[in-house]
Amino acid sequence: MNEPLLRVQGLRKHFPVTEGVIRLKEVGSVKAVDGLTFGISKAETVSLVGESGCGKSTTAKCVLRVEKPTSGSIHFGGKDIARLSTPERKWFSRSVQAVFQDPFSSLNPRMRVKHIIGEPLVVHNSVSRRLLDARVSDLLQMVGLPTDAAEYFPHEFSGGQRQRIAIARALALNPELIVLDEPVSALDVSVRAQVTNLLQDLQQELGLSYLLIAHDLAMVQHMSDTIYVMYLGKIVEATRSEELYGNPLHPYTKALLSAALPYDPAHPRDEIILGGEVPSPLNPPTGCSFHTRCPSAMAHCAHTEPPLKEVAPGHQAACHLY
Amino acid sequence: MTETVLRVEDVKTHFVTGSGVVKAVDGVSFSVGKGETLGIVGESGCGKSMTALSILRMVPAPAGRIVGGKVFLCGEDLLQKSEKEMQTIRGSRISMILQDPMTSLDPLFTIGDQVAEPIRTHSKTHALNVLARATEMLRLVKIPSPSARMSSYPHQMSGGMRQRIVAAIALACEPELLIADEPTTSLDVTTQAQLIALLKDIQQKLGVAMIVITHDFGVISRICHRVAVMYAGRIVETADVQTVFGAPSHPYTIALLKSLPRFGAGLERLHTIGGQPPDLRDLPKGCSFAPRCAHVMDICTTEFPSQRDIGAGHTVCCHLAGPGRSAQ
Repeated sequence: MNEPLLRVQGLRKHFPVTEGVIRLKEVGSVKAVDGLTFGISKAETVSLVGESGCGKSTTAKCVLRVEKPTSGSIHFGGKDIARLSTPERKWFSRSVQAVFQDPFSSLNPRMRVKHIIGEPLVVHNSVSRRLLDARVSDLLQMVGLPTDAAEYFPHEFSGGQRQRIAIARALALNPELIVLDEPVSALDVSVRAQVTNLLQDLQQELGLSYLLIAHDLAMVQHMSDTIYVMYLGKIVEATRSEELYGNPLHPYTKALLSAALPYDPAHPRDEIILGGEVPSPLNPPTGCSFHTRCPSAMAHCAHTEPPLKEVAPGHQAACHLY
Repeated sequence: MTETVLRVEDVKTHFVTGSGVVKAVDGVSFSVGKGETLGIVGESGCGKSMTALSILRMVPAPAGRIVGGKVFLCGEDLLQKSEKEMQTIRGSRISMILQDPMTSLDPLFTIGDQVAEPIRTHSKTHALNVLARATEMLRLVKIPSPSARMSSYPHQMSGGMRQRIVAAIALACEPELLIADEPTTSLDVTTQAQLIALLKDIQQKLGVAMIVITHDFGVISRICHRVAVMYAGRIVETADVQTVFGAPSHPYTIALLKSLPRFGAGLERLHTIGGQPPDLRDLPKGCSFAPRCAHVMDICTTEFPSQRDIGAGHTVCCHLAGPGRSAQ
């Protein structure tokens, strides 16, 4: 098997909880991400799905080198990103880009669009000043904006257009991997489809890989090749997108699907409604962390943690039921 | 026919700004019956929240003003009431659940104080019984150990619990009408499902008329009996929930439903609606959806389509609608 573009192995990120006047006494830790392993191949979309606090954004930050993992390794293009030399770090920051959820706060309101999109090009010296404007126009065309948009400020655009600007900025340096952190959830329903299609077109055209982070299973299922469902810092189910929709195994995935499925009033069906809420990652339940809310919990779920194992070809789940 | 609780007739709410008049709500009419849930669905800026604020007469003044129309609550026109009379109506006869439970609760008061406040203000409950009534409300919204929770503060609770507290406050005086403005938007997916089930359950128990404002068709399909689709300050289609999902008639409703990703459809392209919602200061002449509509005709750019009844309470504002014609 060939080496994937991004390989995350046993990733752990624990945030210490401290006490005392100068906050030196460590009293515990929040296990935001607790043993995560996944890979992304070229031109593939891999999604991390889960509710707030499940560690999906922390994982993205580790991949972007914003947070340093507590343990585990992340390899990008065959290199360990924790041990990069200075030129390699520049290469890494060119190759991995991000698009964030809220295009109202991710664009600097005081910069013109051409400076926003051109900034990464200037920082990395990747085009000469003379060709900068031409490159910015190209990028604007790629994301479906008129080229005269370059002279305007972000506030002159709607949410969907701003997200396009953010995508153009991410594309500026010809990256190989783009981390998409809830790219459409802040947008209006009628423009979500436009941005989703744009992202898929760009992927086909440029052979990009996406790490998609989202909570809306319908959108995720539509965009991804492989989906990882996370709960309290751990993967509970991982499989190909079609398989997850057709044959969800973990009770948590089933509940998420039930909540995300467009409910057809003409064909009422049983909905799975979980009791309680996501427990605090500061004090996660013993055994299977989902047993407190699980409709099919058994006695030994409370003290034995189920390992993530392959229960069908290419379909992993962490549950004692299988 | 059930008894009508709220009837809104041709309400217009405009905002005067430096760059022109924003017609946030431009001639909206609908009614809600006892025990019925009406969903108002639309994108941001389509006037759905302003419609709710107009019913409560809480449009931000002085820029915003209700410039026309009538709002009848059980036969009384709310737009003719004095501010003092409105104060006795808000929170007792009409109450509201807002989007964000993190900001709609006061961090400095206990849950008990906040649930008891509308009971103290509006009902003639004896002081000794107020707290008992508040505890009962917490039990109704399924807060575990309600009497112990009375002395908790909002920060000690999770988002879903806080939203249930907000619902308890809204229901404390047994209102005739409950307006929920994006009640589930700020909650996690599984918590959303819980809150929707709770609201549905409470409505069946109390028979309150309810208006749910949302942009999420998933919420609409789970809780509403009837749906009004809004676009650029106007209701473009009203029908019962089965019809909206099964046989929508307005091109905007059809396009919006098609643009949602569906399970099992794989990686096919999503159907998109071109363009952006229009600027409310400068609405297109004729039908406001015409510039984005796939079925636009000459008449659409000159004349606003009047509301047509195409049977069984299904009304549409589109030149295409009518006997023997359909946008599908």
